Amino acid sequence: MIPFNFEYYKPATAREAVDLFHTLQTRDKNPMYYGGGTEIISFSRLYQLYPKAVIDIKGIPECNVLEFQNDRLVIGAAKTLTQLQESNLFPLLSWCAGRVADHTIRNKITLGGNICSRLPYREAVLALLVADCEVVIQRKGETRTEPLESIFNQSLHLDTGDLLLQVTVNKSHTCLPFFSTKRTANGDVNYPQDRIGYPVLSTAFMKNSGRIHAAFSGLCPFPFRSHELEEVLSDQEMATELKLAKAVSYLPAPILTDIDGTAAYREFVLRNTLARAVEQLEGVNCIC
Amino acid sequence: METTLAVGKSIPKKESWDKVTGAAKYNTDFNEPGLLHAWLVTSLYSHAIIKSIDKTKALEIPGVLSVVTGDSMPRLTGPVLEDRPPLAIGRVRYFGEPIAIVVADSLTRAKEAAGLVYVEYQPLPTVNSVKEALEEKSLLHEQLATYRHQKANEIFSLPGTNIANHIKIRKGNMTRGWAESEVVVDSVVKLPQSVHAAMEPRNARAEIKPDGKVIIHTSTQGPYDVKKDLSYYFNLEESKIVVLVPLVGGGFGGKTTSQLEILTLLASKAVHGRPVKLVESREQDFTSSPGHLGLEARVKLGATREGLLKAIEITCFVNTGAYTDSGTKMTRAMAADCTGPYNIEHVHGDAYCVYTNHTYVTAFRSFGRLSHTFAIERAMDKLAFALGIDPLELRLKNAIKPGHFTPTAVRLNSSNIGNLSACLERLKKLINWNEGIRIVTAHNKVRAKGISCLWKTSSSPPNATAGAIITFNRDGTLNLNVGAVEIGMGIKTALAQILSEKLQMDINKINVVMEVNTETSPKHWKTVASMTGFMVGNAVLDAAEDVIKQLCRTAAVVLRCPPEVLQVGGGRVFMKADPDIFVEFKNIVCGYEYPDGSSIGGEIIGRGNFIMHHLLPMDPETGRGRLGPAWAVGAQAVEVELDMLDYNYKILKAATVIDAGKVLNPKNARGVTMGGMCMGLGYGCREANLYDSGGVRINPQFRTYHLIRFGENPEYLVDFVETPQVDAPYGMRGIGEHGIIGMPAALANALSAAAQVNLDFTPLTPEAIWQAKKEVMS
Amino acid sequence: MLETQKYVETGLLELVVNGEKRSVMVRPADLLLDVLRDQLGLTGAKPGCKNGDCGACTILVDGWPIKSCLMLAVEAVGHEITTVEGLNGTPLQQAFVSEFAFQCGYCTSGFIINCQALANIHPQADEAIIREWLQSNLCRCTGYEEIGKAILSVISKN
Ligand SMILES: Cc1cc2nc3c(=O)[nH]c(=O)nc-3n(C[C@H](O)[C@H](O)[C@H](O)COP(=O)(O)OP(=O)(O)OC[C@H]3O[C@@H](n4cnc5c(N)ncnc54)[C@H](O)[C@@H]3O)c2cc1C
Ligand code: FES
Ligand code: FES
Repeated sequence: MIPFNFEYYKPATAREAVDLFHTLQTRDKNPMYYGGGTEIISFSRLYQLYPKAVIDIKGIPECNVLEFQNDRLVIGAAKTLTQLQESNLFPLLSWCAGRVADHTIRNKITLGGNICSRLPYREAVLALLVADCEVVIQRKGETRTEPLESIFNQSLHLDTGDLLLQVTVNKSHTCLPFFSTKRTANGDVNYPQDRIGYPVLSTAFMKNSGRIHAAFSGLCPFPFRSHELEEVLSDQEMATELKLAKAVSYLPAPILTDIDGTAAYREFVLRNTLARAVEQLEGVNCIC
Repeated sequence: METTLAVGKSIPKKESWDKVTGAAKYNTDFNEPGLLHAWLVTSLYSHAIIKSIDKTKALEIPGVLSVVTGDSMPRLTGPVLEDRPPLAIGRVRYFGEPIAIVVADSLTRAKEAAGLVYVEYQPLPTVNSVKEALEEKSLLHEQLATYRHQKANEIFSLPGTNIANHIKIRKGNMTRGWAESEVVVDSVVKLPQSVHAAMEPRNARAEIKPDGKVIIHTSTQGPYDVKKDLSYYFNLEESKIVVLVPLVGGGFGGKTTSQLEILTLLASKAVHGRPVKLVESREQDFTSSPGHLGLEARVKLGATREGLLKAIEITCFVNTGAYTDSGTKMTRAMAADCTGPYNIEHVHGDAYCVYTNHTYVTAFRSFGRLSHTFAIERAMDKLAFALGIDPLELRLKNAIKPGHFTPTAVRLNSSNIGNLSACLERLKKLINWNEGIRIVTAHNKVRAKGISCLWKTSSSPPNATAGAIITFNRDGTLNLNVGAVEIGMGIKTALAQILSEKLQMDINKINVVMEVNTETSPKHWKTVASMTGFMVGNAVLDAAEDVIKQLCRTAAVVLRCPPEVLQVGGGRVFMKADPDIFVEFKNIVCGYEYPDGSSIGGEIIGRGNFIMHHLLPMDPETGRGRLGPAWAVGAQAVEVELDMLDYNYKILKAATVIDAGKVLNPKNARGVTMGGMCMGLGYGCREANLYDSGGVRINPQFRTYHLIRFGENPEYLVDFVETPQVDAPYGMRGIGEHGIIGMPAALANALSAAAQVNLDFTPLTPEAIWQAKKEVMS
Repeated sequence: MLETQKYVETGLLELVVNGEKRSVMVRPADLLLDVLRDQLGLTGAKPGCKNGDCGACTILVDGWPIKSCLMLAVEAVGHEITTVEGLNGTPLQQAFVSEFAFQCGYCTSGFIINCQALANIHPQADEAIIREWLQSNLCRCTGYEEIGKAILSVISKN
């Protein structure tokens, strides 16, 4: 039960969606793009969000694409996490997205919604960060493509009214070797224990031409990829112990303490995970 | 007693098809035109003075009819100690405490308006733990001395402190006990508060008819208590109150005392008696309605070198939260069973019920034994370790038996205690105990086992009653009407089985009234304490006797013989000596009609009742007394696999053997036991109410308060021993709660063995084990 | 060219529920769960948390399980909704009865709907898939063993 009302629009094109957004904005409707709506509904219920209008993007054709186009995998922002998982065109993304929430909710959560979520986890982003993907953004009058990393700093930096249309990934990156983990307060999801819950630590590692890419969620109050940390992990010469000690010093913010885990425990989990990642990815190359 | 027809058979629940088709109706499924909706305004502080409540903005919302506040009911309530205002009066004592009720013509309006009720608080120091309560950081109830007790000499408050009840157990002679003890262990445990988390959130609906009749529709385990309470609090004749209860979506003790019923009645009064529905959100169910107690306990246990227990000193501090509700009684109940199911001659026990600024507590599956058992069973494992005796052997050696005395000095016999040793022996095989407690498997993995014993008696009032009414339909089928609520335990089906067995009649010909209506269903104390089968079952047997007598009386005339030579079975009354001479139920249940049309007999209506007997209140100085008619005992085990590198673990197996007296419905008994085990493991591994430093609940949702989910459950090994309880229907013992009792303890014992560190707390998350390990290593 | 669908105030909506066309009066912000229960009397789907965590409100949208507490009624336009009331005497329901796969029954509609979708979509589902799907629903009464047996009895027959 949402204790207030809002207007609902479901435009058929991206351009209309953006125009509508700006029109509604000038009418003080505080509009929001509406993907799966799971976050908008659950926050509104608790008086934490008050949109007076929502713009459902599920009717926009570009947002519903999921296929290889030339040498890139194109994923529409309205694709649900389950659809990503079931298609399995990008296994690391299936892996990361497939651990968000639970299966039924993933039938509703969209990739765009997860990337633009207010919550600090946004686990699907991890796969996208390490795969050097690009994002396609619809703004008033133009469609722009940018590297995700250039506009993802703690969160996705969009201008008001910008619509995330698609994410694209270099085809060759979709099948690079990877390693990915998620640990919740109740255990490791790879371990047959609790799969459901916010992460104590969620990770994605990918190996590209001998270099390890790494992104993390749950560790700091936002998901991130760290090039300094990757440098250390990829260093063939350095002993693992030293790697771990150095890596921990390259985090972009102090480690989080919350109900899922203390900072000290998160660091312990991080060290274990990094050691495993290095070991797993050693000597592994393309999985295609 | 021969049992063949229904008792001992896995008969599916009578309401099964309703439940799998969505047709089953729960209280919130009912709607009617004109129904008004209520939403609670709850406290944002754990302890504060309410300086003002501004309702103006809320009342401006169209469709908002009333905003009800504490001044509408300036009195205190409580089932034992009257310490709780149904709506806060001038002060709040826990986060989530109801402050106001908004009543509107739609739920949306009510909820919207609730956000516009402005409450101005002046924070007070928060008592955020038992320790802070005992240090008297702040007093929660300055007026404790003046609070009314519903019964004299039942509980013992210490005014001027935060202690609402102190129960003492004094048995034997401690000086001798310690002198005889060659080995002594001292163990301290700490367990958090948690929530019942019945999937149906708590809710109620109230209406006052023009003639003053109060109609309450509610999801409760105690409809007759609701009636009694409302009559008392609102000064109404009981005949003016009707409480109706459909199927209940889980209770676990959380729906035993009156709360929302009082609030909805207040709300309805404020709108001239119109019907008002109040359904708690999950967050409110978790924070505003009562939860499960927390416990801090110390156990000192002494034994001879051979492992014979000699003395125990146990101190329990129950975190009852801001109000006592059933907290005081659970404190008493755990004191009464304080040794665990072991024979210990010298006992010194103290149990304190302590106020804190946490959510108040009420009955929870096992009525406190779950927590208390954890304290005892951790101490038992430590003792076994200190003695170098196998933990299971130690328990076997000291298992309570007929001839022994309980802590409250009840002399035991095979009927009232059953056979714990047999349970332990069975458990030993089930869990393959002899294989070893701790086995190192590959890759830093360790497999380990832990065990726990359990026992529990009920703690009903000495005058608790149950009734049953049997009526017939013209075709000879019958209707059973009882006051027991169907909360999922399959009680209505169990009672039908008892009746079917007694009348030797097809269970499909027995219709059980699913709903309870206090106007027409005979009173039953309440559906708690695993006592319903015993109490209502006995009432049903009594009613069946009555029916048999009446059937035989009419049949005797028809068959022209004395009633004594007749017997009932298969829907007929027949001659014992010659079953071919019979009359069918359908021809006599509404009177027998002779061929010429003249009739005799009249409608057969069976009535039966039961009242508890020989229960005695506990002596204030020694605890001597008898709280319940019998115990059910059992033994449980858990097997885990722990990763010694990262402290992830998996619960591989969980085993339970309970002396059930007689298993009425094997599949159901197994199901209810597994459900309890799963809940106990959840509490052991992950469930806890979390509060921040200001006493604000920070995990009031399933998103952050995790239950065990599908597939995370272990393999269940469940078995029963059957030592009949002679005064119970077909010898059965109540076992509805018992599956939960020893699970957290067995889990902690298994993990302590695996990690080789004492784990004396829950929840046992990987982080907590890592932390404990780190502490002993540094 | 498709047009922008819009619902700006309370209005009449046509939904296809259990194969029937039904009209309902809704606000755009109304949740599908509330509309099914309060307007259509389909109270099989239950509110257990209204936060997407418990699964008691699960229904099918075009054959896929969805938590109806996190879906707007307007979103359902043009899709086929199936609630537990739309199943009748299925082998799965029979399995739930004979396996004693519920106690209080409050979670049952949600579990049954989810299991039914699973059996339809992955008739050969292995343990891992079953587990992944069914972790979306909470049951506080049972220990899940019986529910596992019920779904397996349907899956393994395929
Ligand atoms: C039960 C449950 C469990 C959860 N567990 C996890 C978890 O374990 N890990 C995790 O990472 N997350 C978790 N979440 C959070 C979840 O990932 C996000 O809330 C969710 O991804 C939002 O997706 P949606 O499609 O429903 O978004 P919506 O609710 O539609 O939108 C979310 C936000 O994104 C914006 N938005 C959506 N699409 C676009 C777009 N195309 N362009 C621009 N802005 C857009 C919206 O305006 C809104 O601000 C959980 C959520 C639920 C309900
Ligand atoms: S009510 Fe929808 S998931 Fe709980
Ligand atoms: S049967 Fe009660 S919650 Fe599942």
